[in-house]
Amino acid sequence: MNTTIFKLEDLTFSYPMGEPVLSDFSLSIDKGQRVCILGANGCGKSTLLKILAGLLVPQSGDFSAFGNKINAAALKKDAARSYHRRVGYIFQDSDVQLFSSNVREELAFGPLQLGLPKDQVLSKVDDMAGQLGIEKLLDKPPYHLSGGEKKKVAIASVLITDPEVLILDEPTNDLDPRSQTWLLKLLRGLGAEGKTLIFATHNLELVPHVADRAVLFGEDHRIHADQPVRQLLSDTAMLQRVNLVDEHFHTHPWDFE
Amino acid sequence: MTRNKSNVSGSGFIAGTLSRFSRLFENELYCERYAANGRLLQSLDPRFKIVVVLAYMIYGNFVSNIAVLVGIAIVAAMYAGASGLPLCDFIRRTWLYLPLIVFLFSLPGATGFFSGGAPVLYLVPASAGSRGLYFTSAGLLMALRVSLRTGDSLSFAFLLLMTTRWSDITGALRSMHLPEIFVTVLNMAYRYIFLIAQIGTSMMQARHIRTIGRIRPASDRRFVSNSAGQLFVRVHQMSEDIYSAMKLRGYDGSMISLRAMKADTLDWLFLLINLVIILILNLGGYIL
Amino acid sequence: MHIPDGYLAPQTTIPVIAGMIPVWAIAAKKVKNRVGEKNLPVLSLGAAFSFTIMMMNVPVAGGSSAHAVGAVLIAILLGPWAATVAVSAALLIQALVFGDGGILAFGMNCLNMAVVMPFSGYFVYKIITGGNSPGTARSLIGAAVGGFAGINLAALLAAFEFGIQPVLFTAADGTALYCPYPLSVSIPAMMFAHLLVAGPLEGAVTSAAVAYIAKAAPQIFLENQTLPDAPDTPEADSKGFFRRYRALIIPLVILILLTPLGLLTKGTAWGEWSADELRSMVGYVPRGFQSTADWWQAILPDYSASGGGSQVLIYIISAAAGIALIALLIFLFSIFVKKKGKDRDQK
Repeated sequence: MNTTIFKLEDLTFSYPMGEPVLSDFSLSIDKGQRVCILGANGCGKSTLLKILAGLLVPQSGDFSAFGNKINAAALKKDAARSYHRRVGYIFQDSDVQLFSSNVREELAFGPLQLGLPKDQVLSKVDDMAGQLGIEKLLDKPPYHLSGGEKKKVAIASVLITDPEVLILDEPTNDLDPRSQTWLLKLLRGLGAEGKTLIFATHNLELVPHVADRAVLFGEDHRIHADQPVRQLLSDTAMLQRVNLVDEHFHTHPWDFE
Repeated sequence: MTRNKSNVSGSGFIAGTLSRFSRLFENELYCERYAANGRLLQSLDPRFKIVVVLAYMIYGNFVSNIAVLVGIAIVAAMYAGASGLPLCDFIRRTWLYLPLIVFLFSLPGATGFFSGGAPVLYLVPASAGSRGLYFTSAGLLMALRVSLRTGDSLSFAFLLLMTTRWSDITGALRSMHLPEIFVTVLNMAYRYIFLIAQIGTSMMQARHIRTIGRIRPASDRRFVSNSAGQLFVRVHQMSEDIYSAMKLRGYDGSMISLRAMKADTLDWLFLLINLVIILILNLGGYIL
Repeated sequence: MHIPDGYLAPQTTIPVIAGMIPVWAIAAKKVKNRVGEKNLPVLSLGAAFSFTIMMMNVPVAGGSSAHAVGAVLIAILLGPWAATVAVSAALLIQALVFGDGGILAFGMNCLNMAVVMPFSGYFVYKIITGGNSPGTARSLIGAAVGGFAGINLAALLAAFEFGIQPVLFTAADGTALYCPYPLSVSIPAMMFAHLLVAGPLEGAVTSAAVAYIAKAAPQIFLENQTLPDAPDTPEADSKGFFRRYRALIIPLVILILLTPLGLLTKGTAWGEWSADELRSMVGYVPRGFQSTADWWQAILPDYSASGGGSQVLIYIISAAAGIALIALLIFLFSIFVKKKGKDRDQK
């Protein structure tokens, strides 16, 4: 059965003193879906993700999550904390979200703020590190790590609070091919667990392996297509029209295995 | 000042700043390396450390006896050694920069123009028309005293910094009733400084690569004023994301850390011992 | 214009710190109300920026240094109280991380660069700019002149602070105990560097930054924002200026009153009292002190005349004994720490 997790209706959002980035925008996302947001730079992908994450508040329209209306009033202090626990967000630039002295403290940060007792937190940290294969990094400071390692730590620090939804903004930027494969496998695993995944990316190779639904933004900040992923990626003419790919793009059958 | 100018090329005051930036990173790595090694100072409650450090600084500031000032410097060095800090580096960083500058700049004040007393070292011999240019013994002692004080203050500040995590320092200040907004600003500013250093460094290096020949000071200054706004806006977007990231993980101004701050016998003993040390130093001041 | 710790007598620095405490408290409250949580990143960024700008400094004759501060820029962006918080934070980080400007001198450095500079600079900016919004030509001129004026006023105050030291704090033989340069040296030295170099740089940076930010990211300016529950915005008429900032006057008055009180205690340098002075202070002279004092008294007059050899030996032995005792204490304590450290690790 499908329950709608996110519902946006006639949303308008503009940054302070700027033009509207989203106008009369509507979208809904169901539990367990794996949605990929595509579009050229500057068409509103990041803004959408931040609204879903509860970081930005639209000027008009309705946004509800988990059945509740979400607006500025609903996102105060403790309510904000529990919302953010349920909806995890991974920034494009890992440096932005790593701020502790070492990896162990970074992972421990979330559970500690939630008020869990220390020994429980420490065992959770060890579990999570084991799951993502970063035990060796636990005592290192984050700025000593490579791009791929930083991404793993960033994801670990968000996953440790067991969110129901995971939002990722361009997750494969700064990742070497090996780390990209690792990420792909991780996301597939999370999707299989039943988590809802929403991610924006330029990396079209990644998309068919992880997503089941694709939403395409045009340069006019509107949704041009919202289809199952294979269908959308096969329509190269449309992808060219919105300036996402050039004439050399094409997909292969094995992309969809 | 640093022996290792790392990968900083060029001269002029921007290159000087660049090398200070790289010292900044060096500092950060240093602090984290030594702040957790479990030796003497690292095992103590940060609040007690702050109180003791302040006590030595205040005491040193009041004292004028050179022997006592030297004694304070020795105490700082002893603590550095007992806490696993490399002594040569410690002494180099604390004494070879600011105290030296202060001493040099005080030297004119040690001459006959500013200080009375008998001459002890002539730079320009006295002649028929003038008294000559000379240092007085009292003046030299004054210069020594003033730079010793500066170095003492610096040594203890460094001791505190190198043996305590930044988050512990701000946590201790918070528990000593510093308003929360200052703590938040301190924590975030500390974070942003590295961000600025990173982005600023690449901006400066990019410019250096593009420029042929020596960069003239006037051009340096123009670069600084032009790029200040640019740097600010560039960093601004990232800073908003950083703040969002912190809020997303539940940060609301005060950080609950893995290390609880509870004073125990060790900390009180530390306080007592330093009281005794200061008394010994003071007694030494009478004798010497 | 950071002043190192060795140059200022604690009788001057401690009252200033005391006077600054209410100023900081007021600044914290004002910033929380007016600037709001929304602008906290910009405020912290301003602090980081100020720190960075201050790192580019050149030493100046007299022992201080010349550098830009950025305080007026922050005041133009978020108001002068925000600048107080930001620059104080930057100075604290500097004092700890780089040891620039000392911990005891912190109050004075904050007074100069985090209070006098942003408030005076912002005042000048407002007078010149009037009601024009940031980014207009008037505002850029206001920013440049405000920055120049602010930093020079702060430099003048700093020059005064360390220039009066030799007047007030001298040893019996006339040498200075702290800064040796009187006002006749400190003021020209500081003002030369700041009027000719640091001031124009500050003005240029402030103006250029305001211009760029107004174009590229105008939403940063507090006056361009409509905060949901802001009582009054900083750009109210200048008549209200004094009324609003009168909160500042009270701590400043305390400061001015306390400083002479601190100066009254100047007397003899701490710790170097003679037996007579000790007696009058404490009521009696510790017996040990008296006998040692007599002993030295006997030997001292001969020092300059006859061989200082045995004298020096005694000095060396006493010094060595004192140091050895201290070293023993620290050593024993560190062993104790190691032992205790083992069971502390269970925490």
